[in-house]
Amino acid sequence: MEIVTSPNFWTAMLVLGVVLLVGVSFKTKALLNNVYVAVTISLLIAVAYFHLVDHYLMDMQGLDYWYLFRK
Amino acid sequence: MGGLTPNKMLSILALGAMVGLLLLPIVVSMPALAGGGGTPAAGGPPPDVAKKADTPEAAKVEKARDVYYKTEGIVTGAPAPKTADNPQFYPRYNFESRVLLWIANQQHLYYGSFVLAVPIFCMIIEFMGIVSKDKAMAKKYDQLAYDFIKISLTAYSLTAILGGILIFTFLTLYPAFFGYLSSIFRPVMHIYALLFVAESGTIYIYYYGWDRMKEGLLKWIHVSMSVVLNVIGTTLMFLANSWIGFMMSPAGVDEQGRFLGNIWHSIHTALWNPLNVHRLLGNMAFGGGVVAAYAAYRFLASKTDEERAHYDWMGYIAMAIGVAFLIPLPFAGYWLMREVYAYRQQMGITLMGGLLAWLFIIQATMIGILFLSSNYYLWQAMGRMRGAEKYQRYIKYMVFVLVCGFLIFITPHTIVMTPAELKAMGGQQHPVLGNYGVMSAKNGGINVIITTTVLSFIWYQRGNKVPMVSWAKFGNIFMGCFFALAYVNIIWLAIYGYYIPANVRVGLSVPQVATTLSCLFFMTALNLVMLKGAKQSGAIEWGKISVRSQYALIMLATAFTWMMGLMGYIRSSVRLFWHVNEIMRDNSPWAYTHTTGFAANMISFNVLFFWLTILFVFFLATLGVKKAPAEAKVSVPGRVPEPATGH
Amino acid sequence: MAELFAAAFGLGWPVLVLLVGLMIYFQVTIPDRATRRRAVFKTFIGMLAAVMAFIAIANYKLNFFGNSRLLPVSLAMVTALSFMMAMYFYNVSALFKIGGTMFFVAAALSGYGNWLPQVEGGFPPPEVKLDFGGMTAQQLADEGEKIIFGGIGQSKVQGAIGKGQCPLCHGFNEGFLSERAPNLFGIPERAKKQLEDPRYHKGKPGDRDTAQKEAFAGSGTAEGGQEYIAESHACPSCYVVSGFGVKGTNDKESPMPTIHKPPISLSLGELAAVDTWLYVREGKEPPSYEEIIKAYEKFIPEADRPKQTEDQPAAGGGGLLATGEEPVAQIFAKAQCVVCHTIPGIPGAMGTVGPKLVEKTNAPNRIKDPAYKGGAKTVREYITESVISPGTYVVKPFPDGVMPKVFGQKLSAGALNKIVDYLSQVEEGKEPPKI
Repeated sequence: MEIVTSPNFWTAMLVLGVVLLVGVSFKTKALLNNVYVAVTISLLIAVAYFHLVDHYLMDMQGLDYWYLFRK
Repeated sequence: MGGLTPNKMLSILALGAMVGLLLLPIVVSMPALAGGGGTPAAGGPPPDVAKKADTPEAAKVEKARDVYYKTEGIVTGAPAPKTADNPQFYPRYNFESRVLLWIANQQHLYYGSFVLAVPIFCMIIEFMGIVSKDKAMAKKYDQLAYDFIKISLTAYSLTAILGGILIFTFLTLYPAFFGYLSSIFRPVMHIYALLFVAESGTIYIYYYGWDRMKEGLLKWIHVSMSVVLNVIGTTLMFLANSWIGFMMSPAGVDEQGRFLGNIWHSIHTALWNPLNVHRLLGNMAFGGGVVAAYAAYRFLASKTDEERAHYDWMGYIAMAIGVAFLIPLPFAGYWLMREVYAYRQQMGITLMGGLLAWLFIIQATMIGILFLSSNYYLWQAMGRMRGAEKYQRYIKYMVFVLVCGFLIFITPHTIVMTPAELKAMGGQQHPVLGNYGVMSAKNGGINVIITTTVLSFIWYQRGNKVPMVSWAKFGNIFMGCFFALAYVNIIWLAIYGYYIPANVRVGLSVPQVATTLSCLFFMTALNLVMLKGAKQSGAIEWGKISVRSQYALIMLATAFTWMMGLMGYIRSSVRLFWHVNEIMRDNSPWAYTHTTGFAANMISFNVLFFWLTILFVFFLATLGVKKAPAEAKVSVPGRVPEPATGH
Repeated sequence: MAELFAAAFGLGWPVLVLLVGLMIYFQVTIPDRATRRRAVFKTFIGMLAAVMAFIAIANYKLNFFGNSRLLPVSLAMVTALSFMMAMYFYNVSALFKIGGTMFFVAAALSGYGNWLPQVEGGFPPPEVKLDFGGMTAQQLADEGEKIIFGGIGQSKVQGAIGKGQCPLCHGFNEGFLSERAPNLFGIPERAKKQLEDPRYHKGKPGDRDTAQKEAFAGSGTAEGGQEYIAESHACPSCYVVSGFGVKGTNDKESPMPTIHKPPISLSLGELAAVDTWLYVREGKEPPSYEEIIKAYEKFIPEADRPKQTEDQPAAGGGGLLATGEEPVAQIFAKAQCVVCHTIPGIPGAMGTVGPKLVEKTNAPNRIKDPAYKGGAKTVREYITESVISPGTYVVKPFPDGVMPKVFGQKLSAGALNKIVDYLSQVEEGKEPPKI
């Protein structure tokens, strides 16, 4: 639980997603256009991105996004 | 390019004249501001005010505390007059003075907003024309900008006339109040008048110089003129806003309303900046709506395909500009409300949960209508593109999402009720529906609507194009995932709000908004990149749009006008029985707040009056076009209005 | 209905007559049969539209100020006639269609507005003096919140402050840091306990070692919680909560001003409102208005009670406090110096909020103080400076910013001169000068 509520975890996920994206696109475009690979990378980036948005924008207001989970 | 041609000389002179006009008010007001601080107000205030100012005691230096800034200042003005219900303070016809003033104000505001917004469009479109590489397109844009300014020129003189009528209405029906207001804003009012002169001068140079300055460097000079024009126009609006800001949240005066010598405090009140931003965006969206309605009218009235194509395109551009400014409007409104709550909580409660709450429910409905009609227009607009059929089948799902978002958005949380209703419902909140009215759910609703509008727009952009970039498939999947998760995130945050305490919940709207804006910025950008070098499955056939779409534009324009009237009424009536909030009481027989129905009827009247007059203006413009060579001379320069006397 | 038609006809008969005339004119003058029929028919449509338009206008006119919700019907009628006209008048059909659409939208929105429950904001409450005695506990508490914080609901707002100026020193919310004065959360309960504090000397005011032993001679000490609160307002130095006294006085003197006296001058009614709020906001049953007033009357003698009705010209910032024609003792009283300062020889000048004014002794020492940054060279200059600009040199241990900075404007030159004359002659340990 503690790992999941950490922004570092989601930053790592986002970085992982971007690294995968760059890595795969350098290797071969065909692999990138593979549905499974594309969905995995997209989901990774999007989920991590929105979690970071939620976390940091709440944090900026001095509030805790993970309130319910840490309660 | 080449040497210094007479044309170039002339243009540089014209630009110089414009900058001169821009600086004129500042230069003229310098000595006035420096010396004008201490002298008692001349002319303006009615007898009772003047009397108080003349008593010898008032001449002695006296200090008092600013009601808002809490600073000490030397008392230089007379206290706000205490009025009574008699013809001396409130001269009247056999009619409600407030209604007359309401009409005069609203009409002036409609025209004013229009003529301030259109030059901003002109600036944008003219610039687009210059940077456009496609020669034919550039010419089209340029012609469009010229058409825009032509429309606004006719409306401009009407604005000035209406401004004059407004001032006379104020002077004759509310002399005590207007005297007080002008005693405080005396220098600002003069600068305002001078700026109006500058605006008129600038707009005429800009308009009549169009043909002479269409090439090379001259064109750039011409564009910079439009910048000067807009700087003047925007300043004008900010100054006018300072008066209403002062009426809502006074500053720079003490508790009795005596001016403390710092005009900047009176201008820069608690609500000034939020009002400025909100109004600027609102004007732009409104202006877009009016121009779109003009285009729709010309489209419906046109006889040839070329005409139809041109006005279809014009309507599309105007609508796009209008919607572009409509999207940030709710956020600016949110800021304004937050500042209202920060200034006086009571005022915020009157607005959102008290006397005026029903008007906000109407407003929520209207926001929904605006977004629904712009979506409808975009879907209809796909009809003019070959290859857009593939998206048509998704539209029904989008309608479903939009309607769900809309219904949640308009559900009120707490409302004003009669005791009987209260009893029947078992409390201020409906046992089931009340839950949807919580702010985080409402925010969820509106964010879903806006995100869907973004999606509609992206589909529209792709309508006739097939992305050819090598990673197109990945791009599509990524875009799909991003949108899907954006919806999930918005809805998740909306639901999450029910499980956490209110003080944490209030913060949820920020990530919700950020999610929507992420979609707006990232996805439209990604879409543009993907569409680079895209294969066209068919050309855009301008003019092939359905007639219904044009009614959507008219609907958009009317709804926008109505909403503007509504919001203006809300903003003005939140002061309740104060002319100047907590400083000067309204003791006229019309100090009460009207019913929702009466307000709605008044707003309808104002909206229809505005549209009838402006349709007439449009109609006159079509008459002019028939005598094509003479069209530029429709508005004769000799008929320059003299707004300075009116303002 | 008949009234409506009558009104419509009254408004529109010239137009109808004109149209009928036009119809006859077409009938007579147009030779071609088809053209004639078309013209007559169009005129007929025009008449129909005109009738509808005038009924719509009459409806608007009759119901404008009434509570009728039928006004949108007018708009709907205009919508119908616009589309009807658009069908037959091709040249301007677009205009009519657009107009019709607009009327339709406006009618729908107007109808929506009229369909919603109708709330009318009544006339504003008349500007009356508040009658604290006739209020319910909640109203009284609301007034109290206004006095303390400046508005209802403001007690939650950081930094909100009302005319009572209490939050300047006191904290009001649980757990709030409150260094200058006790946090007043839980005061209704605590008040009773304070009476048992041995330092309070309940019932034996003579045993107190504080700067002031009783609110006024013979007032005695508080017997209950509410009386304790009343005494704290009326005589802050009668008992000082430990740790909150003026620095260096070992809690024998309170820095708090007497609330019923200037500069704050709350009336008994206002004090009752303030106290009621203290109870109500904690959900406690407040004492009745009469009980609170009685508690205050115990500690504030008749003559000292501020009258609520007076408009307080001094506080409002009207004219001068003193013109200089009065005897000097009166000037000290009028300018309210006596409230905060002890001035030997001036009756009633026993204040302890500011330093004792023995300036012939003090001034030379102050000018020599290395911390002194003012420009005065003589005793007279020093006194003048201290009156007009109190912040220039603040005598230890008194806090800065307490003395009003308005005396430069509120005293005439003559009055100031008299004050300076008098104070410059007062010497420590000597007889005060003759007035």
